[in-house]
Amino acid sequence: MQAEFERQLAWLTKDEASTAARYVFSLGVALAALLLTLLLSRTLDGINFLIVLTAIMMSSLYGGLGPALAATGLTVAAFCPIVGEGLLAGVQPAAAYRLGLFGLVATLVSFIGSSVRSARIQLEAARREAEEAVESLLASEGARAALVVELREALRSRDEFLSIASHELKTPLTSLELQVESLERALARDSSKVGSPEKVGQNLAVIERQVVRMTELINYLLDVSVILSGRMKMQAERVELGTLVTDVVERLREPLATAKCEVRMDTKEQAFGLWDPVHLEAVIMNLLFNAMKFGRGNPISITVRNVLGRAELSVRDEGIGIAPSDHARIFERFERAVPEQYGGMGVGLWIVRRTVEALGGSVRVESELGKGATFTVSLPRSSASTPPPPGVLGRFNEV
Amino acid sequence: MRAQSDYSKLVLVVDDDPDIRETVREILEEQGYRVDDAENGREALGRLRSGSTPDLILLDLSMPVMSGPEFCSERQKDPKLSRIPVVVVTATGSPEQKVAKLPINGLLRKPVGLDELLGTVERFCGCGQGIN
Repeated sequence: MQAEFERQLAWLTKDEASTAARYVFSLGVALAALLLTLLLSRTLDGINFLIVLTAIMMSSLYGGLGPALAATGLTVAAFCPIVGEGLLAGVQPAAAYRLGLFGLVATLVSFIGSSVRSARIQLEAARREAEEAVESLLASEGARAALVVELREALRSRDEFLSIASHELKTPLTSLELQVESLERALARDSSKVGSPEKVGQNLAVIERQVVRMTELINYLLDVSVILSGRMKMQAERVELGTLVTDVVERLREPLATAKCEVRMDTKEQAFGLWDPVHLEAVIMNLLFNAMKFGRGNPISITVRNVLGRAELSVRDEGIGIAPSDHARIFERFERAVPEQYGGMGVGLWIVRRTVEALGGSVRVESELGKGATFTVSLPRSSASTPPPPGVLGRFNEV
Repeated sequence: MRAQSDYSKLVLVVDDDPDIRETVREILEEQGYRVDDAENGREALGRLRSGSTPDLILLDLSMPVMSGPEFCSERQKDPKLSRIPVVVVTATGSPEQKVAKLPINGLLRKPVGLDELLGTVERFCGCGQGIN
């Protein structure tokens, strides 16, 4: 109960306590003490001295210096008539002395008490500051921990990417190394019998193919790096989407034949737009490579059409399909939703998405496991006014 | 079924990369070995089950349809097949972990050198001309 009482009074030490409240409190306490002394006796003898002094102390502790001094003045003034019938009646020396002593002590107590009050106020402020500092420290610790988790995940997926990239590069290197060593050895044995020109020509063709594969792979890596650093530049030209698709399909004739993927194109509608043809070609190629890899042996259907003022390109394969729960994830960097034995670095669809977004468009997928997949790219007529995509700076997630 | 006069050793090359299959075939045939190939684990099993008994299997790990490890566990079910030596040839970063539990007889890391490849095949098959 004492603590409760203390807490109520402690309000007076807060900033919210107005000056008026403090004065009212102090004077009120002083008046209460005076009334008490009236009941007991009317002189400033021992008990009354203490009672009133206590009141002054409380005034200073809770009200502050000004109110305490005001209370002191009030009580001194009150005792004057009580002491002897007022100053006019002549003050008895002893009583006057006692009054003077009281006034002095009360003033001293006021000063001491108000110092204690100030100290309390400062202590309270310091305590509050410390509390706030601890809270903000905890909050930033929490944020830091979350950041560490994100960082670890980013590093993990980068490590996985590098490991897959290294694996992919070692494959063409294998044939390359064996072919080169084989030719060297044949030359060392007998330079005249290294083999018929036809045979050597075949060997060199294999070598060339590996170099092309590695170059493509490295370009993939460069694409990833360019996109990450926000350096992807777009040079818009007037392009007809169907014509572009036909060109790409023609260029990929051999790999498509090897994968036994017959391409059916529906480009009856013409879709014109202002787009960067090089980047758009890369998008089409990426989609076709995926279709060939995961829908090997099955036909691929490509459709170009105009929908609500936008150009749409759909690539459909009849392959292993993608579970709906993975539909969003596959467009993220380094994400794959297929068993490990399907090579690939998990960046193809990410490159597609980022490039399409840089062209001002969007890409979506419709698919179910075992039922093939349809990827649809939707483009505005003109991507000329699209700002370049942000790079690594400013978005931690893209590190 | 093979004739008795066929004394050359037979090597089965299992890899999803056609250029690797072609290159290894050329190199081994030049040394006198006979070569069969398959582009994934399932095809390889098909070859084995149809009567072909190679003296050595060169096995890639990551292949679509049926991977190297899957092939190994299928092979184990048949005692006749599980006797054939298998050497894994892989581009994986830390192959030791991947193959630790597999019943294989050797490990080669891609890109593999000519000497290493021929040396390994010789170790399991003797030299290409077979026993006289």
